[in-house]
Amino acid sequence: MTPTLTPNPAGRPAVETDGVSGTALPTFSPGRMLREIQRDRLIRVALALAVGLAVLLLAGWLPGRAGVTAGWGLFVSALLVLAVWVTLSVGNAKAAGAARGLLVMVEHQPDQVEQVLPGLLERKALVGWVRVMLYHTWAALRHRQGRHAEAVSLCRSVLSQPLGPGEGARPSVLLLLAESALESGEMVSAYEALFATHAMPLTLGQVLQRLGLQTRYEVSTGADDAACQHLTAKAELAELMPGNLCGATHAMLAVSASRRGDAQRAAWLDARARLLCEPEQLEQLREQGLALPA
Amino acid sequence: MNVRKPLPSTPALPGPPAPAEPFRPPSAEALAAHLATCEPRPLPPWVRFVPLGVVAFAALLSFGVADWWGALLPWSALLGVVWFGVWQRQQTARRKVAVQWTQELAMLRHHDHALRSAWTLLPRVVHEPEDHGKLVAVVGHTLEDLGHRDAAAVAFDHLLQRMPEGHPGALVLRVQKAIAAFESDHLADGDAELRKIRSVIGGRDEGPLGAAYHTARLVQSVRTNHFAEGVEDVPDPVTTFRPLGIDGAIGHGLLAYCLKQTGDNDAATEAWNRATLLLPGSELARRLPVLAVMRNEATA
Repeated sequence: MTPTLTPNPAGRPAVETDGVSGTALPTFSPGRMLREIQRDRLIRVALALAVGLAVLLLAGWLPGRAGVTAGWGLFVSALLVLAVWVTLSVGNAKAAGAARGLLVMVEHQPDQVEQVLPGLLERKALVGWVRVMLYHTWAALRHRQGRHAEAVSLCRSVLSQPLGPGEGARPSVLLLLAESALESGEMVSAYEALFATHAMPLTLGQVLQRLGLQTRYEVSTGADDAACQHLTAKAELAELMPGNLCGATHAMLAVSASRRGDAQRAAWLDARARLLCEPEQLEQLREQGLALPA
Repeated sequence: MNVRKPLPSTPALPGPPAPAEPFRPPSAEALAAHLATCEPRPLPPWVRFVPLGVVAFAALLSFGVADWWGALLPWSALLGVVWFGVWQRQQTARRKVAVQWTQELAMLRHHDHALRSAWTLLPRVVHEPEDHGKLVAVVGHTLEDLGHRDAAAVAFDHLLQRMPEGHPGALVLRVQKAIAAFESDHLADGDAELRKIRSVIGGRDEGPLGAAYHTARLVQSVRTNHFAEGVEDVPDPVTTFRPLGIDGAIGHGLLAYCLKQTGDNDAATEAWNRATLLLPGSELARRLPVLAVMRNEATA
């Protein structure tokens, strides 16, 4: 899932939530994830204790009684450990795979994700990072549906937990948080999320995404000097974005350049933005003060 | 946290990796041979049962061994299987990172490094068809950008043979194959590709695919000297080429060339200005040598 820099996030039509769709998941509350993680941990510890006890019985106490040999006891113990380990691993691997798959589906099939996700969240004995990845999917879904305040809350909860093998997803959660925070006007959260991404390695796609979000943050907060720093390099980097995002970034940089009195570069950026943005998209940006007047 | 403190500035485009020995782009024949050697093939189904078999075998062996080390045998096998599984997962993750890095190199137009990386990675991803496809796409796009259009067509063909006919990715590849064919003077091949695309997309020629299709049609018009047809084909160039982003410059440049040939100099200048607003004239001429004429006239 790649969160998108939308020209008018507040005005984006939310996904249909009437009827069957949109009713499957409740409104998120931060305590829910912690409770589920603790419940999973308890189940796993109980299972480990039960297996340990069974191994002690099979390998230590049973051999020599009722004609059971030590080899047989160890063999059955090994099989038991293997069976439990495989069952837990397969369950977690399936849930993690499903979370990854749903994350891809969020952009185009949010209704389906809304229906499938509750079933996955109900699974028991998941390791912490797998459950957190499911909540990451939930956050992406709420972001896609335009429920940004809930998405911010979900992202914060996800980031508060260790992500383990899913640590590679941290930058994308931070960018999701930054975008949702910008949408809901929580500038401090957006700043913190963007700031955190500067301390970690990003893929090229994430660098482009951060460029768009950071530009929007800087233009929205009037940090025009920061927005216009390395302006040519930023425009060059923006050229690697899809057309509409590239256009939106140019439009925003044009606003900052204009406010700083750099009329020549503002005109150049604005002319490019007009070629790259759909007229409706440009109009929406203008309404938010993120593009120069017509 | 102090919100007024400026955020660190986003760095400029990442530079190329450390220089290495130049990698000579492969010929069409060499690429075909390499792709045949690295044909993607799924792992046989029995492979996934090997770990279970190893543990079961070790457990059976332990019955015949009375010593203490015989009792440890199944546990050792189990540990070995777990270690091997973890090692294999790490290797797969490393390969995926390498494939992504190669794609990024190609996006940043570090052609030499992208080609070398894709070429050397291909034999290592034969059991991962998705990554294999990504690398072949990198090879195709890079070769096309370098002007080795015959070799690029080999890569595009390789991908097309493995994709369903109506797949959006397949249609984009067909457009690129058509442009490569026109540019290497295989006009009939290019025309055949365009017909196939037309039969699938019908009148729905908006969006990136439609824009790419119209660009290919303009290349055809230029190569076959049907300039007026090219101009008629794109009545609203700004809307038509917008979905391509910066690459829409190629369409505007080709339209400018067609307009120039039909004698409409004012409209040609306007179209060329749009093209050079998006990409410098030198870059346009590098991508499509026919546009060098327009650049020379503009700079004269």
